[in-house]
Amino acid sequence: MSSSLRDRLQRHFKRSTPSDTPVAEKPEPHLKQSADRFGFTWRENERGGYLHRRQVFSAEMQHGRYALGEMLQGSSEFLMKNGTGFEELLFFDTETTGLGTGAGNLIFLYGIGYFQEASFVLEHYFLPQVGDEAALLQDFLEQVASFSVVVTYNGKAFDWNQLRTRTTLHRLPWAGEKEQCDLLYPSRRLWSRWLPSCRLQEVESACLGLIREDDTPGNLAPLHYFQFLKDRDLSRMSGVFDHNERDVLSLATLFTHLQQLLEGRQPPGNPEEAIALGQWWERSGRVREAFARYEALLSDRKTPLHIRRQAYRAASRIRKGEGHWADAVQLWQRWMDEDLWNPEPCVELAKFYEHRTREAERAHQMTLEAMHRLSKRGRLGSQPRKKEMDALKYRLRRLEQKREQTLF
Amino acid sequence: MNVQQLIDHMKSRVDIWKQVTHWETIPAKPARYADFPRRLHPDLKGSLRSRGIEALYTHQATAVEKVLAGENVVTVTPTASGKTLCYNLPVVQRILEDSAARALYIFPTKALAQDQMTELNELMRGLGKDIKGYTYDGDTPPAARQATRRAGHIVVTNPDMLHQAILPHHTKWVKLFENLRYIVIDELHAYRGVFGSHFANVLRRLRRICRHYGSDPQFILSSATIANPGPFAEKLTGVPVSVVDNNGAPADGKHFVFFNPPVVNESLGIRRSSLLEARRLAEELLQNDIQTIVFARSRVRVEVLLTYLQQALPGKVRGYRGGYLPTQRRKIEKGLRSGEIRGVVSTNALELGIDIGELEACVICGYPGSIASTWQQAGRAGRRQGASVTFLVASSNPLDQYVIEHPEYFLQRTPEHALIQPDNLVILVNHIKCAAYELPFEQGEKFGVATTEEVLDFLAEERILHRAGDRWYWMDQSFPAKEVSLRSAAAENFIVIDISETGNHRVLGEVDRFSAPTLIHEEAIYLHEGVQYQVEKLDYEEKKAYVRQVNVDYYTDANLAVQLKVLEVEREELDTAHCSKSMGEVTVNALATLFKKIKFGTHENIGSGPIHLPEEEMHTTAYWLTLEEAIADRLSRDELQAGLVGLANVLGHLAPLYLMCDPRDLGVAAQVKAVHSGKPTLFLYDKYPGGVGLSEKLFELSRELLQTARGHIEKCPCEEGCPSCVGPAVETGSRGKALTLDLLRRILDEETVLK
Repeated sequence: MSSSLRDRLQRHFKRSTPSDTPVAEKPEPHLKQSADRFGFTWRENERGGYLHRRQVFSAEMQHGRYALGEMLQGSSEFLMKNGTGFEELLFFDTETTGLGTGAGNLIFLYGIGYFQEASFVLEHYFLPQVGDEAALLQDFLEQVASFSVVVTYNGKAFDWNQLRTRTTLHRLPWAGEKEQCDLLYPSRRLWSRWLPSCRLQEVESACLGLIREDDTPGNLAPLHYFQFLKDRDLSRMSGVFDHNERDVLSLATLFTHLQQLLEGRQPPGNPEEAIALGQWWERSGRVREAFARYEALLSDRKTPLHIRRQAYRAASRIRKGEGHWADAVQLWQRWMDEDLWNPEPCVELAKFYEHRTREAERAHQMTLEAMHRLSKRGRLGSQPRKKEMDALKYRLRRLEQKREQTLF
Repeated sequence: MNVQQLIDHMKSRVDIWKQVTHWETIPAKPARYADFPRRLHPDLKGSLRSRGIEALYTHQATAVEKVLAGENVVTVTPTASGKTLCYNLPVVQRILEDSAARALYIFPTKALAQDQMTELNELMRGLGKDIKGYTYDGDTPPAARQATRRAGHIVVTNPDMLHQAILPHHTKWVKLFENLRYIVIDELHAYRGVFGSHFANVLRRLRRICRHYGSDPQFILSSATIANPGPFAEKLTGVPVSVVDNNGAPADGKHFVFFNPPVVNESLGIRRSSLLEARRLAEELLQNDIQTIVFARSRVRVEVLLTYLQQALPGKVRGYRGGYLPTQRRKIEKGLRSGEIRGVVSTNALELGIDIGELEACVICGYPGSIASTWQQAGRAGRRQGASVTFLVASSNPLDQYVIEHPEYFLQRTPEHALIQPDNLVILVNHIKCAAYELPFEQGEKFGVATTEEVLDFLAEERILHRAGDRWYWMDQSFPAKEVSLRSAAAENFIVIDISETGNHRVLGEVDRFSAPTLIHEEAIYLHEGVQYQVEKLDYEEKKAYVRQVNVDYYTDANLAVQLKVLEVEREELDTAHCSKSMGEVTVNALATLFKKIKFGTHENIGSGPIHLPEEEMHTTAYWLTLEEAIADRLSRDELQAGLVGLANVLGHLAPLYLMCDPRDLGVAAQVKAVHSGKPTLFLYDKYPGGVGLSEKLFELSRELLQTARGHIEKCPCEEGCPSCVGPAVETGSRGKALTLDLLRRILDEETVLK
């Protein structure tokens, strides 16, 4: 029966060529020795053992367009709660065996970075023996306990979440409630308009001046690990270690870059970024700085129309909200002259003349102009905006009535 | 006319009476009550009393007592007998005693889970306590999911969610698994065959995770009447289960009518189509404003009947079957409850306890394949007051004819055994993968079978698992639960897309992979909600069928050519002197070859065309009969062929008498010279990869099945064979019936002379 079970299994499930019989893993002396070559040391506690590496980088070390320590000169208030010190930040990135956050997705490499005495420390926790995960986790959790903020890239949903899954799986106490500073979200707000994607590598090369050469792509990391588990050859993993190291360092650089942009110490690199920055400031209550940003965009002749349009829209909204009507009207008129196919400024002006200055005739003219622009756009194939047009027709009728009232 | 008057009227009519083989009147049954169990929480007693309930039905009281005493229980009762109290009372009691306690309710479908919440909330409102019940299914918004995981005392879900969303993410459900006291599974009988075999493995995984978190929940189960509730429940859950079947619920008077369509061609034994007879009966009921449910066996038949009945009562009759989208289904259920919809034509999709209110009449077009299913369907008609009527209209296939001519068989025999095969290798191994993803396996751990470790080692060699010390770990990038669908052989379904309107393509429904070659091949007429669509293009790679609305007077029916090869013999016995029975693993190759166009109304064949689709291959288990030379030598090849085909037809159709399965779950094949032995052989095989236990059961029942077949053929009034016994003479030749009978007698080792 037993050989028959094998045959049947093969019939239904065979997928690969015959492989060597699996070896039961044990802590081999040669692994501990070869670990040396990569700067790792063997660590043990009552739950088992794992490999650990600690590297210290000087604050002056350049990674991309910034030195690691540059962040310390800035403030952290735009990305985190007030009063958080830089020594409380934990830069965190993992390598896992799969995607998703299910119980079967194993974290085999944990990378963390933090500032200590004006240096940047980078630690790696690597799991060479799957059965000893609890040993690694226990030490790792102890090490990260004192930090209050976790800085990640898509880690709120993934890396940190998955750490929690591993902890629960081993029934270890979870004390990981920390403030999450996930840099994916600010990156999306600033760059999703002009970057093809907001993958970390994309952001690195476009914004941080980092090009990765002979990098091991993250999606191949699991395969290297699976192979390592078979042949115990640690040199297979060195590419993955390097990849993770760069990820953690890039988190620091990215943090610095965002900080400098948001503080206004770093001029925006292009109009898209500039407008996004203005909108960020406006939303977080820094209206004056936002307005200045919009004005700067409008006074630069090279700013493309689609950005100018957004700047006009936002700037005139600010002025209107403050009751600076003369400024607002001036902005609308400039907008109208520049953005010839857009009914928006005409509508704004129509509203202004109708309700503020009560000039029914001028309001009527503006409404007609808006309708003209809208239908012109319709003829050019853009979707006819029936609702918009109906609203304009309604306004026009009302204005005609008002005009008659003033005539008689 | 009200329903009682109409029943009396129909009973007195000659045109109906002539076709009735039996008219069973089931008298109303009074309720039997029992006091509230002594241990029942005073708050619960109060809540029941406030709803006007002063005592429980006998079965409810017994079930509650047993559960409170710590037993696993399965309650076996017919439809509408108040089974929900059997589990709601002990569950709520436990939560009243310990607010940390949790319960998991599992219903076979999403719709049933939603019905259940309504009822549960009602019970809890009366208590005024803060007990929270939540449904957790694909429709639960992400924001509500977190609350459900943390705070839900009672989580109501379905097997698919459990399989793909809850178990693989068990670390997010710590509160539930640490405190899980009860697992409630309703509609237990729905978990038979492939679905049940999968589900049994999902439960193995569930109990494994409970052990990890230190809980050992009790099972409270409820089932419609089946022959083996106890053993079935134990096989499904893996725990000892005590059966409660002292049903105390009252029942109204019921009329159950066995209706056999008239013979239209004596010598060919052809009867008028059951579809047309069902149509006639349903039309009469509907025209008298009797709310009626019509059951048909296939999607195509549902749609054909729907087309007819919508003409009779425009706008008031709807269809209901798998492949309709959920929102559409909810609307139909609601319309039935409110009475706005007067008639519904359904597949067995409505057999389960979905709340559609109580209808007055039921027409079953074609025997549903099992006694249990038939009672479930008939149970859809029945009101608290007054009478109800069910017509069982037989088709001409042998199983139907057997039942309609032997009403006593149907009325006296216990319903069938529910069969599952949790150790089906394909199913088992897939769930071992899922289980390994959830938690590493430890040496000595048993997952259902004693050979667990062999399977784990195999998976380690295949580099899906990684063995480290005395454990096996999941070591693959994939998410295994995604690759296993509990409901059908293949994970991926085909999508049917309506392209009638340019620029407004929409998804009509879905078709499973194995049905696709026969249902949505190019040029097929696909019926949906009574509307005809023609398949213009089938993108086999992308699993999409593009259809366009048409209006033609025919539907299509496809032929499947089947080849079969024996891979391995597991059991073999000499059954009689000249015949041996075997069971083992086989490869089946199925190829859709051509389709026929069949005219509405007359059902004549008006054309055909080829189908060009790849062959489907499947490994499964089969039961087969091998005839020895002593029998075969005396017959010519043609005679042998005719006899074998005839016998295959009968056996394939009658086998479901013993197995709680659809005739379509079984395949048959006859070979005059089998590839593996060179001898005449007749195969019956499981139509699911790896098999789900049908072949094993047939192997055991072999002789009984053959005897039933002989009795059935002998009694059939036709001369040369007909669709109701060995198949029409056109298929088996003019001596088909005699040859089959002769072959059967020889197999059964009886002295006969060939006519």
